[in-house]
Amino acid sequence: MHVLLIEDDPLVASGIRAGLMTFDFVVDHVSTVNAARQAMRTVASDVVILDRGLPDGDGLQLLAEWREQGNDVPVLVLTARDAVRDRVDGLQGGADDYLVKPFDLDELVARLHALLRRVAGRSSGLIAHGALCLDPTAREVYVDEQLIMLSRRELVLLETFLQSPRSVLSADQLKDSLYGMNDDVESNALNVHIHHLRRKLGSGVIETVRGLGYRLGKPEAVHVAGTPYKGQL
Amino acid sequence: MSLRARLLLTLGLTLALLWGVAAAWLMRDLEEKFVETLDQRLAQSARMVAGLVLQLPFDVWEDAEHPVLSIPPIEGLACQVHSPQGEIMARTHADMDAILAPGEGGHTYRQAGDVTWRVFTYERGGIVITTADRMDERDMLLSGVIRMTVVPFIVALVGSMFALWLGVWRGLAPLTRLRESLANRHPDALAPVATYGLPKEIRPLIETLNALLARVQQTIIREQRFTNDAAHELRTPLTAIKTHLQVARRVEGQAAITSLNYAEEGVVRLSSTLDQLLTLARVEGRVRFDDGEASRVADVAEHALADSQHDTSARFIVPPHWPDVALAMPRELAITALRNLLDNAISHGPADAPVTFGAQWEPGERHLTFSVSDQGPGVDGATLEQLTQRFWRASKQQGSGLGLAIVAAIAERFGGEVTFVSPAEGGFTARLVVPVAGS
Repeated sequence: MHVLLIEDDPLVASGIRAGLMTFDFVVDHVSTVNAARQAMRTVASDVVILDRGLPDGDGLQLLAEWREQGNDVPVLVLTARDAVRDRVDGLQGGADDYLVKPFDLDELVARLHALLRRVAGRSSGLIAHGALCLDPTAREVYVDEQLIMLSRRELVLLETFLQSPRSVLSADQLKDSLYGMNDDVESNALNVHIHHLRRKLGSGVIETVRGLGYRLGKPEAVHVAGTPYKGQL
Repeated sequence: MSLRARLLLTLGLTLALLWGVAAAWLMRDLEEKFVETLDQRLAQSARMVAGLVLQLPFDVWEDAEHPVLSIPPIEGLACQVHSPQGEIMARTHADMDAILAPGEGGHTYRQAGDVTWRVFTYERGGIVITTADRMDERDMLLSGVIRMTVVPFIVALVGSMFALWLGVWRGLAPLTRLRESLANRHPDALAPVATYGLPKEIRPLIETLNALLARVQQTIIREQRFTNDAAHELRTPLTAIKTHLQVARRVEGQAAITSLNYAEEGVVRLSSTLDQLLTLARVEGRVRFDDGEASRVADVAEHALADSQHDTSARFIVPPHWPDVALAMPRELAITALRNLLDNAISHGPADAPVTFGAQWEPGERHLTFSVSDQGPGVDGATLEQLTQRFWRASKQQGSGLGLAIVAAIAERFGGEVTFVSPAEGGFTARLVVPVAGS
């Protein structure tokens, strides 16, 4: 999952970034309103963490701007001001959630997952797809209650597909989910990860849509490698 | 005692007293005039009788069947005519010889039994005439007159008391309404009190009150902003510390050490902000800083230089001799103010350019001026005015935003002044004017 972190205090930002990365989030950090605008145009973020007091403006103004443009990316507002007025302003200004500093890293992660779940229209914390079940917080994947070992990137990639089960995702969108803006990405890295997923979860788990990208396969296409694919019987 | 009760009591007592004195005065005059008038009438009736008697031929009396003429009596009034020989020639009452016996001329009182008479004796042409009035008749007449006079007085007194009560009640009604509207206010409501419909005597009072409310509101807003800013400044490093510590627990090796280092950096920042906040609170509070030591300029300047966060004295240009004078302020605060100015110059000036530190004072002058100049880019005019605001700072990386606010607070406490100059071509100079101790 790609997180755009907009926070002007370098020490806080480095902490959140390091913390989220331990939970397999891909974090891009910007510290000004202008840089955030730029990042929003170039990167497909799944969720935004927004600090209010930025050197070149109020984070809430930026949020209002996005909502006006019809951008409904889930936004969690961070603030050191806990006056009720501030919180109400934040939520009325289009924020999806609100967290007062200092916060607990686990709580931040839980809230981010809750936001993502709400966007995908799920009510449970676990993401199920046929026999497949992904626990976003524990970072574990099961098929028929059997634990499947996936690498960090594979898990993130699978999570991205499960987050938008019916959409066709372009290669660029998928790369944004896997890598930050400053990461060096090898050109065939995405293909390698998809290949590994198909090998571990069945070739039908991810479908290629020629010319457009990829999408999640049908629920019955999921099966554990080594066991026969029921559809082929 | 309420204003209304006091007004009612004062005015009521005064009115009652005035009306009472006026009534007493009137009664006294009335009584005097009454006695005088009745006495006159008594005398006139005697003269009238004398006139009548003298017009009669003298032998009328001789021929009379009865030696004593009897005149039909009039209630309360008696008359008796005496011949020159002292015989009674005519009388109204046969039983009042003692009362009506001729006496000295003029008015007198005579007592018969329990009845007092007012007697007038008049002599003309040898004939002596006495007339008499019953005093109890007179008294009844007088008390009747007094009753007639007193009733309007009482009506007027009661009427004016009522008018007074009504006037005071209506006159003070705006005050009552004001009191009620103030009493019904929410304790937090600082909106101005409406002056509409208030009499012009109270209006200035309410306007003063409104001005006070406005000042209180501004103070509260300022305090709230300060609390909010302070919360922000304390929570931000706390967030960094907490997050990095949580990261350190989740990762291993070099990454954990890096996170711990970051957390430590946050602790340093937090403690510096706390120190600055406490210093500001102490400077603005009533805490005494005197340690009994004189603040010699050279001593204070050396300490400030030594304390300054970057211990690179090579970067400072200092005068060869400091003015030989003591400052009229505690040593600790003088050092703190100068150190903050030096820190500010170091962090904003270029690393390779020196900071110029000096002091100007001529013997006899009552103030000394420290100046600290850096060769940094300087600030624009609008920023100059914000420099001493609490928590204002050029960027997040630099300081707590309290350094210059502390300098301004120290200067203000000791009757000094801090000013900043930033010419368009760059560079920045802070001037701190402080009082010197009287020799």
